[in-house]
Amino acid sequence: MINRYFTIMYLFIASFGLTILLTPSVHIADDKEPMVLEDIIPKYFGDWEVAKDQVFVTAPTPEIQELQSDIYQQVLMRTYKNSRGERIMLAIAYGNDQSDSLQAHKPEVCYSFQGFQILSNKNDKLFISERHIPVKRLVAQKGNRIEPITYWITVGNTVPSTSLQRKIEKLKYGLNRKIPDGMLVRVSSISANKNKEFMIQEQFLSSWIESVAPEYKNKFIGRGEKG
Amino acid sequence: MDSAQTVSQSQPNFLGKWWPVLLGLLVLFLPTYITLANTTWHNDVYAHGPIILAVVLWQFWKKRMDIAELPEKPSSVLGGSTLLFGLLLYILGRSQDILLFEVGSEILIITGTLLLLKGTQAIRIVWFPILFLVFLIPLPSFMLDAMTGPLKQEISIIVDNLLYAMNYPISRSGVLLSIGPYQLLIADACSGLNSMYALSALGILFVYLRGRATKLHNTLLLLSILPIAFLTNIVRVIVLVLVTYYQGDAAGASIHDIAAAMEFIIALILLMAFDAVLIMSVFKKRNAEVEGHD
Repeated sequence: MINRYFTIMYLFIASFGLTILLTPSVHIADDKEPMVLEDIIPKYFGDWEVAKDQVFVTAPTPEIQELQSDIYQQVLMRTYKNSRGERIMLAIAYGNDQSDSLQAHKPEVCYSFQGFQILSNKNDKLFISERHIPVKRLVAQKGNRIEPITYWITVGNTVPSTSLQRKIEKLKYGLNRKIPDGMLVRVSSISANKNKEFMIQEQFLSSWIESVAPEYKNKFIGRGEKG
Repeated sequence: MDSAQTVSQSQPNFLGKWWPVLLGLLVLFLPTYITLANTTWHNDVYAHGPIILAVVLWQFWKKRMDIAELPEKPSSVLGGSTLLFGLLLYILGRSQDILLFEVGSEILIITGTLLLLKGTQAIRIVWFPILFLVFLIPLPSFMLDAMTGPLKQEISIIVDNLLYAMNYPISRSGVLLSIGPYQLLIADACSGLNSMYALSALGILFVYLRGRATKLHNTLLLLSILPIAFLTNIVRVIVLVLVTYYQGDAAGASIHDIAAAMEFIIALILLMAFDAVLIMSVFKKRNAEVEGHD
């Protein structure tokens, strides 16, 4: 019987070896030219232009801010305004590895961290650039400041709508030994009239995505097979 | 490992025979525990992870001779399939970064190994540390979120109602409590989920180690764990709210951590007190009766 003990050990060691072989190691982001958010996202498009004043709610980890120059972990934050004086805050966090650092940018996390209360949190769909994009609509409040937020998270070239689907998409890449990059795209504005703001945000986003060069579009809103 | 060597000198047959299995387990799961220590165990919900691991190791080690002395009556089919399924989960979980599978596979792998080497009798000896491994499995975040939200809400409502009934100037909107000039946000940590999880683990350990004579006694103890954790958490939140009300924001913030530790100790004391009450009131006679019937 003693060889059973050794057989089991060999089985364990072989399993561990197989695990190492199957662990994803190829960043899909490496296939292409590195994208630099600052350059890809225009400062002017349609009726919108970058405004000077910024009142951002940021992620709870300041070190991510310091990594802004790093193309593997980028955070872009801009406030845009249009001719009617409407303002939209655009925040994009990019990681070449769909990992925890993006979780830190989830608005539910970083707004709560800054003392905001999340008044509502709903799933919704945007229709921009002929694609349906599953988004989250939040309303955050801190004192007098009420901030409707629209955001979504990408995994590679997909936009999964739930964290479970994100895991599944990540797994699909992973089983091909690939590590997908990921992005969190968030727009928000400060106003108590959430329906109006959500509408302005949608107008902003459809104008914004048309201004992004076609080769990067999929990165921001997914390939949209389901659309 | 030092203690392992000293024991092995007096009882050489255990490590002499089992070292390949132990080495294999180490190869599989040492990297997993390094991952846990660097990630999940930093999260408050799982901060008790190292203690759970220590309990599991201690319980297995304590029973090692009982298992070594068992006759080898392997359940080859059951053991083999359990082990293979466990290993598949492990490979998928570890390579694809799914901790639920990676850590969960440990239960299947250990169960399968014991079935293959010794048979079902071995599981009967170490069922407790095997089950206790459940507390090391990180729950998916959507499950945690699904529990945290309603708990927070419930605790806010109860604290609001209790303090209002005691004539404090308190009001509530969602999970935001306003008392006097202060505003307190019932954060995720205040939901008590952390303490409920840790207290469940320690409570179950307590019940197992105590091993009261009747099933009913043990069941009552187990059933009391969650209500005790819930109640002590409410007391903790009330203490925090009142300290803030009387002493100000800074004081409230400064006792936050101490309050969490106190809650834990008080909950354990309550559990032991409940156990003592059960012994003194009901089960003193009942134990004797049950023994008579058996």
